[in-house]
Amino acid sequence: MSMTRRSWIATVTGGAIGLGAAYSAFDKLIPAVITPEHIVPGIATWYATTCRQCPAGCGMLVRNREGRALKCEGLPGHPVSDGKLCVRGQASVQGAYHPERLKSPVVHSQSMGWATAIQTAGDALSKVKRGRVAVITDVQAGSMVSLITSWLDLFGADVDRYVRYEPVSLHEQVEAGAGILDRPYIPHYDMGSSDFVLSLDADFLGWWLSPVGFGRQFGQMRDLDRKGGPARLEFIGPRMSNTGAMADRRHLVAPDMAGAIGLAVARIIAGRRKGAGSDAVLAATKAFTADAVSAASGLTPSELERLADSLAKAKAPLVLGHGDLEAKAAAMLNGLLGTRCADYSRAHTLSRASTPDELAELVDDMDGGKIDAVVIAGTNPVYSASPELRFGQALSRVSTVINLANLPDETAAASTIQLPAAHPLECWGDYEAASGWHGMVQPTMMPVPDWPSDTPEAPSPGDVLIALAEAAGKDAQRAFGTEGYYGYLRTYWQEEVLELSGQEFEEAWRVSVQKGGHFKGRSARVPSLRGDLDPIPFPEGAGGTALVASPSLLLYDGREAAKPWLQELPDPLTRTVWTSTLEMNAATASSKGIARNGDVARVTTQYGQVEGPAYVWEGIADGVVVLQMGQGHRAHGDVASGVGMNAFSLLPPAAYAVAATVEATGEHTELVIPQGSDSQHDRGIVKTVARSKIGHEEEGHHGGHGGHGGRSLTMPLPEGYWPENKHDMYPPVEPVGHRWAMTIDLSKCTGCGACAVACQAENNVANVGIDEVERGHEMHWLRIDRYFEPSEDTPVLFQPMLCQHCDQAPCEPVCPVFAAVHNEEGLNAQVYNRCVGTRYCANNCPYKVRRFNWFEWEFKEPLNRQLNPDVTVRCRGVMEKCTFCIQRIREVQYRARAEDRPVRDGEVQPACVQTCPTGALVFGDLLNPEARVTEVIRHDPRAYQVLHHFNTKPGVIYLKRVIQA
Amino acid sequence: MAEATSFAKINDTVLSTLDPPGKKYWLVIGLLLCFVAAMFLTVGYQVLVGIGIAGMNHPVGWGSYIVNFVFWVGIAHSGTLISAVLYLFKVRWRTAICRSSEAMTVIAVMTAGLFPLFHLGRIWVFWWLMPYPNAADLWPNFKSPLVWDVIAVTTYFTVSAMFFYLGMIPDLAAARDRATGWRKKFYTIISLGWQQRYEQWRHYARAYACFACLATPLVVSVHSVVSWDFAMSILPGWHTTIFAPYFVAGAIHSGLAMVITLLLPMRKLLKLESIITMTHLERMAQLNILMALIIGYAYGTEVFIAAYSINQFEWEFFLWRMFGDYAVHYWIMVACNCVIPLLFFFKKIRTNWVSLLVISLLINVGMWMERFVIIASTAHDFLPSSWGLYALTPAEWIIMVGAFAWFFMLFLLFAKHLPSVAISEIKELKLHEAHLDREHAG
Repeated sequence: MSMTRRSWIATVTGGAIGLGAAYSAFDKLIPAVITPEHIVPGIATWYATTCRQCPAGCGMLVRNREGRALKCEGLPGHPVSDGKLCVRGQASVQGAYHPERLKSPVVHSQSMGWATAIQTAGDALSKVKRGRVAVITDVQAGSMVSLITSWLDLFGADVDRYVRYEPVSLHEQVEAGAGILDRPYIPHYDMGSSDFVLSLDADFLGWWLSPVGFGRQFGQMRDLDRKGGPARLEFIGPRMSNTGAMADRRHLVAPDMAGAIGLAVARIIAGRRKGAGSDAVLAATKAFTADAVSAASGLTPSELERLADSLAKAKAPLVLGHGDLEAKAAAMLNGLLGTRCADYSRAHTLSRASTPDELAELVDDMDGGKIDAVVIAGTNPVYSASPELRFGQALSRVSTVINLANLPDETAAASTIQLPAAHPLECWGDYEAASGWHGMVQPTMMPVPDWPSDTPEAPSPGDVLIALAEAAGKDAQRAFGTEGYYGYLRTYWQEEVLELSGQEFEEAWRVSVQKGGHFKGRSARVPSLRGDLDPIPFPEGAGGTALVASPSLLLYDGREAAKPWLQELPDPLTRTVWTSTLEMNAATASSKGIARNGDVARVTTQYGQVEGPAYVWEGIADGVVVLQMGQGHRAHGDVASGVGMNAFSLLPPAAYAVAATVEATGEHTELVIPQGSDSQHDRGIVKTVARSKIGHEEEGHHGGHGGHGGRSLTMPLPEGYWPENKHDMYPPVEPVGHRWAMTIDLSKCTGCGACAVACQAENNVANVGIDEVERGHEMHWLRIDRYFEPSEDTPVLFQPMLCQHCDQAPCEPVCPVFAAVHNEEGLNAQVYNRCVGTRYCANNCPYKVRRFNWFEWEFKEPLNRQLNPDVTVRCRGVMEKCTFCIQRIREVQYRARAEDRPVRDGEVQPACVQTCPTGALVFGDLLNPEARVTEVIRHDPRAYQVLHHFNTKPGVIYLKRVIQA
Repeated sequence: MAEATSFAKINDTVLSTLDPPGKKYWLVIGLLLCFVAAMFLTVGYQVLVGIGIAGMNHPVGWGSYIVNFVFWVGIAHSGTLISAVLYLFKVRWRTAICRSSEAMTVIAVMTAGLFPLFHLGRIWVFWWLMPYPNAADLWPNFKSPLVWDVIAVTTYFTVSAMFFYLGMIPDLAAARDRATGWRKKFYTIISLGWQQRYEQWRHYARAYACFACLATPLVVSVHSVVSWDFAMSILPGWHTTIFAPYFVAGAIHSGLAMVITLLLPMRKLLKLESIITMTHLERMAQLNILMALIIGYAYGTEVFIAAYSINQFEWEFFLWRMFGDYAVHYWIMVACNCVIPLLFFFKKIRTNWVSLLVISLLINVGMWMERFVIIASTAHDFLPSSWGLYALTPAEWIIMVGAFAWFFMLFLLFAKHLPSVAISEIKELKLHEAHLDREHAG
C-alpha cells in the first residue's frame, strides 16, 4: 500500500481523534463554564470552619485548591486553638476523601436513590406512634440541638429522647462541679498563666477535653522568658501519658489513687487554713488522711505535704482530674485555692453530653419496645457502648433505625436505613466549643462521593432530618423554614447568636463565616466551694489487677480509626503502629508470665475478654494493664476492621477502670515498631539541662569547635567555617538572600505528632501499610523519636527528627548525579527528577531522615484527590525527604515580591511549624538579624545540634529540655 | 625434534579441549541458562514494581546487590594478579593458569557489573552515572565515590578484556589452523589475521607487556576505589583508612580461592593435569596463607583502632558487629578468612584436591560474609532510634544464585570455545627451559 496525501491525512486525523477520545476521561478540574470570581487556578482559597473530630471544637482553616479541600490548618485567632491543630484535625480530610464512603443511601441492604430512600424512611416514620422516636448524636451545641429538639417535637417526643452520646463523656466532671462547686459543668481552663499545674490522671496533652488548646497553654507555661519562669507540672496517674512524660515529676499509682492523693492534699491544705471552705473540705475528706492515702497509694506522707506546699504556695495553681474521684479532688482543690486558671463563666460543651444514665434509659426503652424509630448521626454506640448496656440487642428491637453515617461502621451495619450525610468539611453547621464561643462549620468543597443524581447538594445531617420530617408528612416548613438547614442555621444565628437583624445581621453573618465563628467575651468567674460538701467515701481497693482504658491520642474513642494516617503514625509512647497493645510494667508482666513485648495476653473482665500483644514499659503503675481505646473495630471499613482490641468491650458504662484477670496465652506476635532502640545509649542525642545550670554547664568531650560560648553548635553560615573552624575541607556555601533554619524546643515538644501528620498532608507522603512498615519501608519525613531514660526527671524524651538541612550535608557529596544538592537558601534540596536511586545519601545521613520509594505507593481513589498539587508525587526508585516545605517558602516569597517588600519573620511556616500546638517549632531566616530563630540560635544557651561533632552544621537547632527538679 | 613433538603435544592437549562438546555439556549450559533466565525475570519484575521486593530498608539502604558486586569485583582481582603482576615479575608457574584466570577476571567483572544496575532505583536512567558530554552540560558529581567506582570498574573491564583477548590471539590462530566448518570461520575472524610473522610477534610482545603494565596498578586501584564507596562515608565501620589495602587483600584472597575452585574440576574434565599441575595449585594455596594473615591483621586493626579512638559510636558499633545481631556472620567471616586458610601451612592439606576444594570454597563463603557484615553495618549507626536489621528476600536469593549460574555458564562457554591454556607461552617456557638445560649440559 502506498501512502497518498489523502490516506496520510485520514490516518493521522484518525489517530488524533483516538487520542482525543482517550483524553476525554480527564474531564474538567473545575466544573464550571463561567469560573466563579474567586477561584483562580493555582491560587488556594482558605475557608474558616470548625473541626468536628472531637468535642474540643478547634477552629480550622481549610485550604482549597481547584475545588478540592487539601489541608486543614489551625485557625488563627480562634479562642480554643489559635492557629494550631492536632493529628486528628489534620487527618479530617482523610475522612472526607475516604475510599469507603457510602456511594448511595441503603435501605434494608439495598442501594437506592436519594428520593426513594427518604420516602421509605419518611413512610416508616409517619407510621410511628407519637413519642416513640429517638435521636442519638455525638455531642452537639448550637443550631443542631434546637433543630433536633423541634424535630422530636414534631413526632411528639420529649427532649429526653435526644441523647447526645459521647463514649468518653467526662460526666464525672459535671457531677464534681455540681457537688463541690455548685457549678454543674466543665469550666474553661487556662493554664497559660498558671505557675503550678497538678494533673490527676488528666492527659490534657494527649486527648483530655481540649488537647490543642491545652498544648498552646502548655507552650506558654514552659516559656523560659515568662515572668516568674516556667511553670511546674506534676502528674499522678496509672499511666504515664504524654502529660506524665512532660511533667516535672510524676507518680504512677493504681486507679482512683490519684484522686485519693488529691483529696488528701486538699485535706492537708484545708487543715492549715481557717475558713468555711476549709471546714467543709475537712468534713468531706475525713476518710482521706495522709496516712490512709499514703498506705493505699504508696506515696509518702512527706510527698503529700510537699504537694500541698507547692499548691498552697503557687500564685496561680490549677488542678485537673480525670476520673470520678480525681474530678472531685480537682474541683475541691481548685475551689479551695480559688484558682484564677479555671474560668467558670464558660461551660465546655462536653458538659452538654448526655449522662450515661440517659443513654441507659433510652436503651431500656428501646429494649422494652417503647421506641419504634431511632435516628443516629455522628456516633457509633454499637461499637463504643458498654457490653452491659446491650445496645446492639436493644437496637435490633427498633423497627426503623436510620443512620446518617457516611462511612460504614458497626452501628450503620445494624441500621435498617442508611442515609449518608455530607462530611463536616462539605456542609454547613455550627458548634459552640464553650459557652459564648460559637464556631461556624461551612462547606469547604463539594461533596466527594458520586452520590445518586437526585441527592441534594451537600446534605448536612440537619438537611436529612428536615427532609425526613417532610417525607413523614410533618409540617416541616413551619418548624424549620423553607430554606432547608442553611436557612435554619441562619435564623438560629440571627436569633440566638448574633441577635441582630436586617443589614446588620447580614454583615455580622458574613464576618462570622469569614472568621470561623462569633466569639463573645465574658468576664471570668473563679470557682468557690459549696458550703456543705458530702463526705467522700474512700475507694475500695479492688485488689488484683486493674484494667485501665485510656482514650487514644491518635484515634480518640475510635471514631478516627478508619484514617490511614492515624493508623500508621506511631503511638507517641509505645511507638507501635496499626495495632493496640496491653501495656503493663515489667513487674506486672513477669507476674503474669509475660516475658517481652508481643507476648500475647488475655484480659478478662466481668464484661468481656480480649486477647492481644503485651507492651512492657515502665510507664504503667504496678498491677495495672492499660488498653487504649479506638481499635478493635469489626465493621469500620478495610483500614480499621480487625485491627487491635476494643477497650469498650471490657468496660462497665461510664468508667475507665475495672478489675480484670490477665494471663499469658503462651503465644507471641511481633509488634511492628518503626523505632529501632528505645534507649539513646548515652549518646547525648536528646540533651537535658537543669534549670539552675542553664548557661553554666560543662560540655562533654564532643563539645564544640567553632561553637559559641561552649555550646555544641556551629552556625550553618559561612562564619561556621574556616578560619574559625579548622575542620572543613570544602569552602563555605554562601547563602543568597536567606538561610532557613528551625529551632525545636524540647521543653515544649509533647510528642503529640501533629507535625508528622501535617507534613504528610502537605507533602503527599505515602502511607505504606503495616506489612511495609514492618519491613522498614515507612515514609514519614518527620518522625518523633521517643527515648526511655533511666531517669527520675525525664523517663521519656521526645525528639522530632527531620532533615537537619546541614550546611555541610553528608548526603550531598556522595550523590553521583547531583540529585542531593544545596540550594542558595541553605536548603538541602532533593531533585526527584535527577535521582537514580543509589541510596548512598540515605546511608550517609547520620540522622537517617531520608526516605526511599521502595514501590510505587498507592493513593487509593479518592484519597489521591487530597494530594497537594504544589508538591510532586514521587515515583518508585527515588529518594525523598523533608524540604522545609519549599513550596510554602516560595509562595511567601512570590507574595512578598509582588507586594515589593521583604519576607517578614514568621511569615514562612512549614506545615509542621504551622500546626505545632505548643509552639515548640520555630522557623525563620538566619540572615535576618531580627528573626526569632536568629535570636535563639545565637543567644540561647540551651541551643545545640544533634551529632554536632560531625561538623555537618545542621540548620535544625534543638533547645535542651529543661529539668525542674 | 623432541621439542617439535612436545610442542605438538601441547597443541593437541590444549586445542583438543575445543573439539565440539557433547550433549552433557549443553545440558549443563541449558540448566545454568534456566537460572540465568530466572535472575533476569526477577530483575524485570523488580524494575516493574520497585526495589521493595528486595530486603533493603530504612536504615539499610544497600544490601545483597552491593554485597555481590563487591564479591565479584574481588573475585576478578586475582586473575589480573596472576596474569599481569606475576608476568612482570617473570614468575614462571603462572603460565599454565594465566589464561583461565584472565577469563575468570573478565567474566567476574561482567557478573559484578550487573549488580550496580540491579541495585539502582531507576535502572532506566543508569547512564546518568557516566560522564558524557550533553546539551544540559550536566556532569556526574566527581566528588561522589560512586562515580569513581563507575570509572574504575569500566576501566578495569576494558583493560582486562583487551589484555585477555590480546594474549589469546596467537592461540586463536593455532585453533583456526586446526578447526573445520563454522568454527574455522569463527577463529579466522577473531584471530585477526595472525600469521606468526616476526613483526607480529614483536608488536604482540610489546603490547602484551604494555597491557600487563596497565593492568598491574588496576589490581590495587580498582578495589581501593570500591573500598572508598564505604570508606568515604561517615558511618562507623565504614569510615576507616585501612579499607583500601584491606579490600585489595580480601579481593586477592577470594580471587585465588575462586581460581582454585575453578581449576580443580577444569584440569580434570579437560584433561589438563599435565599442564596445570598440583604445584600450581599449591603456589596459590601458599598465596592464600599470606592473604589470610594480612586480612586477619586488618580485622584486628579495625577493632583495635575502634577501641583506641575512644569514639563511642565506633566502639559500640564494633561490639555490636562482634556480638550483636550479626555475630554469627562475623565469626563465620573470621573463621573462613583468617583461621581455616592457615591449614594450608600443612603440605598435605595444600596438595590434596579435596581439602583444596573445601577450603577454597570456605574462603569464598567467608569473603561473601565479610562484604555482608560490612554492608549491613548501616543497620546500627548514630541515632539508636533508626537502628534496624536486614535480611535477604527470595528475590535476592534468586538473583544471587542466577549470578553464580551466569558466571559458571560463561566460564564453561569459555573453556570449550577458547583456548583455556596459553599455548604460545607454554611453548616459550618449554623452549626457555630446554635452553637452560642445554646451557647446563654444555
